[in-house]
Amino acid sequence: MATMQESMEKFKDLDGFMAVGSFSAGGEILAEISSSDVHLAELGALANDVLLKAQKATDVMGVGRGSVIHITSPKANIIARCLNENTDYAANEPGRAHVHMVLVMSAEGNIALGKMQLEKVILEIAEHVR
Amino acid sequence: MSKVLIVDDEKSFLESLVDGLSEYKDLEITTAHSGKEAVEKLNGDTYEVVVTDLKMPEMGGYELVAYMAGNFSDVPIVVMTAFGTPEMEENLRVLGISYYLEKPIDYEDLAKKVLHILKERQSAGSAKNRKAKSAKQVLDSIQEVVNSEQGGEVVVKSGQNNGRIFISKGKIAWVMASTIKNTFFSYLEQNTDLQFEDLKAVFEECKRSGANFGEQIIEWQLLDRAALRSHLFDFISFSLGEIMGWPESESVFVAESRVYKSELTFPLQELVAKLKLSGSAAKPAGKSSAAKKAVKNKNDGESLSRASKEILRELTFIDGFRDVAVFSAEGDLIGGVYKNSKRMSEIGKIANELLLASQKATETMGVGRGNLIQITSETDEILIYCINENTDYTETEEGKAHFHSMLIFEINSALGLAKIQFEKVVPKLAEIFRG
Repeated sequence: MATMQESMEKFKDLDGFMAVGSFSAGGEILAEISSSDVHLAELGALANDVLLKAQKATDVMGVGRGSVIHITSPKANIIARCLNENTDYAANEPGRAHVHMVLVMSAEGNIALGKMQLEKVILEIAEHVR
Repeated sequence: MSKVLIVDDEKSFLESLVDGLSEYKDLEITTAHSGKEAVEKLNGDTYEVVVTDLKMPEMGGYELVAYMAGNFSDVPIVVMTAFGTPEMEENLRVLGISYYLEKPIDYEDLAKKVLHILKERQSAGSAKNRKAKSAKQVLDSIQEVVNSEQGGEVVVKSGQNNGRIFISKGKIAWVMASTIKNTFFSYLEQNTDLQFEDLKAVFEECKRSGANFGEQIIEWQLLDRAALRSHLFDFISFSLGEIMGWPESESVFVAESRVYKSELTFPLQELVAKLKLSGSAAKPAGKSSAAKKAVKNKNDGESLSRASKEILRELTFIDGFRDVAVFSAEGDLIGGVYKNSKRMSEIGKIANELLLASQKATETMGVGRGNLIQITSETDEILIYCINENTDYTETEEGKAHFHSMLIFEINSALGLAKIQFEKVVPKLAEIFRG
């Protein structure tokens, strides 16, 4: 099994890659890679807040839990992904992973490929936190 | 040569019509297989008449008619229906349609109807028995018909404008004014809790049972009689007021012996009294400035809601559409068009918090302010936009728009198209939010 860092390295070749980080459900950083001045430690807590609010919105709407949030800003795209294997969202069940990942790409980056890569890598990260 | 657009999902039926109509050299026929395709064609060319079926996949005839009411209200629509009864004709007027053809349709009947409409439009105002009249004289001619208790319609022409006042048993049953873009259908959608889908279902039931649209709404308890009567009264008096405002109108009476079954008809005097009342109400006297401001704010809010709904309707034709709404910068719901969600007020507040949290995150990163959030849930894709024209994000400057919008689509639907289409409606929305 690849280490967490090795899994994260897979993002580095993406067009427009700026940074990627893995976080605990509470927003604490687990691993990060950054090719720019983006500081992910602080962003993790903020992205966590965005994820929680998005999930609150989708809960109210009754459309199933929001698990991918894509924020578009003038200079970057931020994709936050939540993987929660717990049957009860609020609980932490043994042997089940609950991890967040945040990928930052430039405005001109290959976002679609970034999202696909995120889907693959988050499963590898989940292996480490189960 | 007059361009005619025929919309139907039955390809063989369309082909046979086109084949038959090819002998009419004055008509240039174009076809579309869905409302969606018709909208694309309407935006790409100019048509003089649109002939459409009501039941079609993708985007049906109801949606097409609603779209045309807002965007091509001067193009006459002929509806092809298998239920061509007098009651159905009355119901079609609710949709703003005054022409119908009963299915099965012969191409000769269709050609006759289209040529009749074209001739009617070309000869507007040229009939010998019409002469220029003032609004007062037009009103007198309606009164004359009302007094005679003769049934029929008073047709009013003023330049390119045309109106029809339907009279039954000495009362006004319906008024159509070509300068009003809203149909009663869309009026109800904007001014009551009724949704487009509810109204469509009522119409379908009317088609099936031959019932009157208004009476069916009451029977299904969507509105009580008093409420529907009040809305109908407002709509009819507004339409009549519009006709009365046209300069140099000409009118002609067309007698018809049909008696309207519905009791949703109104005495002319009551409608005229309402018109006079509205005229004086427009200039309130003796109110405090705070009260005036409160009334203005309420009216501004209502007109903002109506105008935004009208614009947002352009997005409802995209595959997978569920809901769309606009909110103030504080997250208060202003207006929306919904197929699904009934909790937009609550969602708007959460969306506002979400935007603030995202903007905080992007500012911390130094990548500019996040202005679009896309949430992917198990069944839906949710897009939340912040449109802020202010140079200082925290200030609200005069003449600059700042509002939020939320679009909800089914997962794996035409989201890319929705984004492109939304970019197109943003300038229109911003225009109504400025100032």
